[in-house]
Amino acid sequence: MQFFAPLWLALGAAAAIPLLLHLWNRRRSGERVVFPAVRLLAAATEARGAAIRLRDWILLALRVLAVLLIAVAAAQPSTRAHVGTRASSAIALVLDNSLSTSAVVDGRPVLDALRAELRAALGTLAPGDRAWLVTADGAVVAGDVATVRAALDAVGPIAGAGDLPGALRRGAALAVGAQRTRRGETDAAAVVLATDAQATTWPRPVTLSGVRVGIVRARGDAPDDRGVAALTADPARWSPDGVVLGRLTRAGDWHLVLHDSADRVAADARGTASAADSFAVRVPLRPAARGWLAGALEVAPDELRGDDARHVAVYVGAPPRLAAEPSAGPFAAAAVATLVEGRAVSAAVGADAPRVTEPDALTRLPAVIVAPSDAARLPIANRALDRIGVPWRFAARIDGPTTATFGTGASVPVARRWRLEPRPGRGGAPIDTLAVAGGDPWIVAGEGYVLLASPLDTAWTPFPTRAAFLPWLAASAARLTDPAGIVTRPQTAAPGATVAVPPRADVLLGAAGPRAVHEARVTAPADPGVYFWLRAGARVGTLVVDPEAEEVVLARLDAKQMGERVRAGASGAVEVGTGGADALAFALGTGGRRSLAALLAAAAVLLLACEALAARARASA
Amino acid sequence: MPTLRADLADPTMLAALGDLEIVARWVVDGFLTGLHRSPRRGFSAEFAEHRAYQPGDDLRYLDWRIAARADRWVVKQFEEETNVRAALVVDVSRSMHWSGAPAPRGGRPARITKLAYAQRLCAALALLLLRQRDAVGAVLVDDTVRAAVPPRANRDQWRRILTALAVGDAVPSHGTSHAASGAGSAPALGLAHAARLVPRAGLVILVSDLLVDVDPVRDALAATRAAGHDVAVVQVLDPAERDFDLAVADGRFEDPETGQAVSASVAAVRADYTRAMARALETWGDLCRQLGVRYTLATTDAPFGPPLRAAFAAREALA
Repeated sequence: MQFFAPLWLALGAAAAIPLLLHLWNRRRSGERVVFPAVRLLAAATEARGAAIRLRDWILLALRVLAVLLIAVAAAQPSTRAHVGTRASSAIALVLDNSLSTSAVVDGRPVLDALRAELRAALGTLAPGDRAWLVTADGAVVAGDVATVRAALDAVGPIAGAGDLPGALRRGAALAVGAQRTRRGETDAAAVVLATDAQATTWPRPVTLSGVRVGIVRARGDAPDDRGVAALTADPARWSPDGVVLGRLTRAGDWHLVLHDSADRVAADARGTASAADSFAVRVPLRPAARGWLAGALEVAPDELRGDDARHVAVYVGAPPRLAAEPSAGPFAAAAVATLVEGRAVSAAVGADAPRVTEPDALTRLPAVIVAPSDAARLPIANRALDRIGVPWRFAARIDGPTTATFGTGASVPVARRWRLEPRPGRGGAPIDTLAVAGGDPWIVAGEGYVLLASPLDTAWTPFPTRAAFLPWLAASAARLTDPAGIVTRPQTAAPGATVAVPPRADVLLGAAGPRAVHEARVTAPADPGVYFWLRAGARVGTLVVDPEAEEVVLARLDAKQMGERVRAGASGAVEVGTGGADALAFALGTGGRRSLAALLAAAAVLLLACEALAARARASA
Repeated sequence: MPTLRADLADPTMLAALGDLEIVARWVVDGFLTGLHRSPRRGFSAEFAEHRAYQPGDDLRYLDWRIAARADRWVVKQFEEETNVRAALVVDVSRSMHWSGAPAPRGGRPARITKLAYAQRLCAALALLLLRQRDAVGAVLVDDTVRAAVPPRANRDQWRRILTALAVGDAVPSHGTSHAASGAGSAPALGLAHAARLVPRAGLVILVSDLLVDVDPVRDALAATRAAGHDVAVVQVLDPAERDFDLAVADGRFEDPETGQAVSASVAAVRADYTRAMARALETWGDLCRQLGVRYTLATTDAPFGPPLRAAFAAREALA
């Protein structure tokens, strides 16, 4: 028997109430009353005494039993109900191996308990069944029982949340897709999900159609965990110093260590934080300090080791500089003023300071070059580009709405643009295409320049009015200020997530060694830590890998809530329990859990009716 | 009591208005008024004196000559000659001290005790008999004879009887040790003692709640009857004893005399109890009928008239 609301079993303590009342009444009936005709009273009660006492005990038993039944019914008990035999089936076992399942509960990792339940489910498979094992990190293993069992034994916890809803959908698709129809009968498609019901894993419901899902929810509650919930550097670029902002899930002691590029300790601090409050650690550095700092904030180990540390990286360098020429238009001037006021850049001072300008006012690099709006000025602009060595020229004007897409995934509409053509004979210097519109380069960057193919005019593009404009301009300023091609803002990613590779980076360097990078998007490492993007051996960016902040908030859904997160679509069904074999039996339709609550409630009502009749008979006796 | 017939009034109200002596007088006066004739007549032919006529006096004893001569109505009285000797046997055991509706703290009792009822009834009866020129005595008994007043017919006899009746108040009441003297009830002893106090055939009146074993009382009644006495029995009960109508819902009921205790719910056993009580009353009634004893049941909420009339009828039967 299984209870969905076991806390209600505590109501069973109320069974003591009839017992206490009975004893109280017996004490009360012991009160002395002087009565001369006791000899007649004794004669009257002698015959009925035994019957009354028996009736009293029966009444007491009925009342106690009724209260107990009500308590058990309130706890929503259910029992396994088996229905005959079954044909071969397609079964997907979905195992939650997210970071939260590495928590130790009752001396045992949650993942081990979930694995044991799925192993029990595997033990009930028939020889003709086909099985898949799908884990939260997206891995899929198919095969016979022995293969899946071996894969199940080899599964370990990942360092992040993974994508359990995605894994569930994938498992359901596998089971449904593998259904076969033989002699007019279609195989059953079943999914068994074993999870710790981490609340943050299920922000929205998942609906599965055509498949029955048995959910195994880890027993008990989540442990009281202390971990690092957040860690960032503020500002993102230190010139030359800044603060590290941290937050713990519970109050406790922390330890922060930062290393510089030469692996020397640049900062070492300890402190105590209260729960849920962010705290700041100021890190003083030498004024001449330059380069990357990387480190971690740690707390004492506890039941969940995966959140005992979180990492941070920050670039230390001179602040980016930028100025806006009047020819670039009012949007550029306003944006630069805003960045300066926000201390994202410093006002350009000196002849070598980068500036935002149109080509005809261009006399030197570095510069953010925006296209002219007047076609009559195009030859002058192209001559200016050629004169200062920018290997691009403005070609024909292209009218018609299109969308410019940035390497980060952001996009803006473009109504008009000049086609950018590479200038022949100017090859050799590396070129980064930062945004593409209509298949043509729209923003390109090279050594000392960033070139935009449309003027900062809303008649051409609303880009200057979009939220992405200021960060782009700040990044352009940093690009033109810092050593060539360096990306000072660190990337952050969860373990196993897909990340964009900085332009022309060829190696990702971590504690385990270098990893060659050949594609524009790669999978982040599985182990948390600070990684460096290298280009020709030089550090050009960082990747900070840490578990998702929400994954370290160990709060579980109860069985009812879990059942609401995974919904049954057409011809599907969902049931939540704690046993793997039961869950599989339900998913296969050969068994399931039958609620006993209504039956017990009816029995309690019947008992209460009997009690009322007995009490009335006793009173009238 | 100018207008109230005390023999028909509520005993508790009467007890609140006056003491034993006064209430007894009121009751007798009311009783005599109800008879419409004087019971005071003797069998002696020796003239003694005249006295003023009182309503109810037998007109046979009216002295018509004086009435004609002096226009004054007097009756002739004759020298007393006691013709009946009577003895009142009063049960003063602990059970008689009980009331089913005792007085709340600081308040008036809702119902007098059985003993108080018996005292007033016997006082009235003694007064009535004495006015009849009968010799009246009294025996107070619980588990032993507490007091005994030999039958006399003189003027001070009623005082002596009243004094003896007051002895009943001194008998240990509830809550004292059951081993103490006075704990039990032995009306048979009282009957035997009364039979000895009345040397020749006379009248013995037993007033008791009869919450005792039947056999000793039956034997005593039979012996008394065998000695030539007429016997009347007045069984005094509280209505709560008869109907088992108590203020408590349930409890541990304890006999004040024997200490016997029974736990019961009033509602649950009321029907059985009232049946047992009816059987007991029937037993006493049948027993008395078989022995030629007049039996009367009196409850403490009923007027004194009916039991007084029944007891006096026994004396009348001897006339």
